[in-house]
Amino acid sequence: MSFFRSPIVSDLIGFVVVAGLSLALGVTVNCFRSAPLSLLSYQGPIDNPADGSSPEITLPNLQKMVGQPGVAIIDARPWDFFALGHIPGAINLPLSNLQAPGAAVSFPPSLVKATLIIVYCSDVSCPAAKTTARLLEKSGYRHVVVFPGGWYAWKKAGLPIGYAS
Amino acid sequence: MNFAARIAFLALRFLLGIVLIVAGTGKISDPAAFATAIDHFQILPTILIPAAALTLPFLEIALGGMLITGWRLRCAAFSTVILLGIYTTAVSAAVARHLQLECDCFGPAISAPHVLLRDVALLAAASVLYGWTRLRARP
Repeated sequence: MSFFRSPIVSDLIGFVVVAGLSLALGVTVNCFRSAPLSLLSYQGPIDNPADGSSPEITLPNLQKMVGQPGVAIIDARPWDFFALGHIPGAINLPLSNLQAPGAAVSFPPSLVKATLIIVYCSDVSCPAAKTTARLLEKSGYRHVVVFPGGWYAWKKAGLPIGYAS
Repeated sequence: MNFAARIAFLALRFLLGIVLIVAGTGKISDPAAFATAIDHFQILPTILIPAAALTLPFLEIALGGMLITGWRLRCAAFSTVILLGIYTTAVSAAVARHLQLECDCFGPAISAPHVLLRDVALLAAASVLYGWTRLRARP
């Protein structure tokens, strides 16, 4: 039993105990957060562009996110484009509505509980997704990402399409 | 231990303790952002990242508290050496691979070589503290 009495081994055991208690505390506190970090469905990094604009998400990562709890997808295109087809589960939030003169910026209440907000518009050339993402960030929403490929990239990849009911 | 050594020992404990508590508190409020920061180091497998993001802030605060209060000081100093050793290894690997780090672990974002320099300094301080606690414990 002298092995366990050696200072380095007892210090190592102490480290494992403190780390284990920290994990237990971390997981417990996480359960009570308004937007808890998912232990099992964490989907990997979100690519941060260096120019300070909103982070971007790639198509493979976006595919994994569709339908996940806590993920909100925003279609920033006008309503008629949205009605013709969109990423399944997306909410239509046309940028024109947000920027209408005198309009108070108001976002759907469902976004409050979202742990990740993904915004897209038509394709890489449209600025609506980036502008909407900036407005969301200004309004205090965190973890807002842009899918730069937009509807064009989604449709081109032959992925499932959602239609307005 | 003479008076000057006693003061230096206390200063080292408080310095490391405060740094750890400040660092841990900064990460505790936003585990998702910290998970992304860990992810950018490209060291841990994805499945372990949320657990690490939830554990490390509490571990840092606990060790900081133990260093300041002096409770189980030798164990706290040893654990701090391990923790800072892991951080230093992670940052060295990131610097060697020219990764873009998105970690403002101790306040405003600073460049990776500076983070490495700071981590090495903190690791050296923690190692001195641990050596000191071992010497003190010797009969």
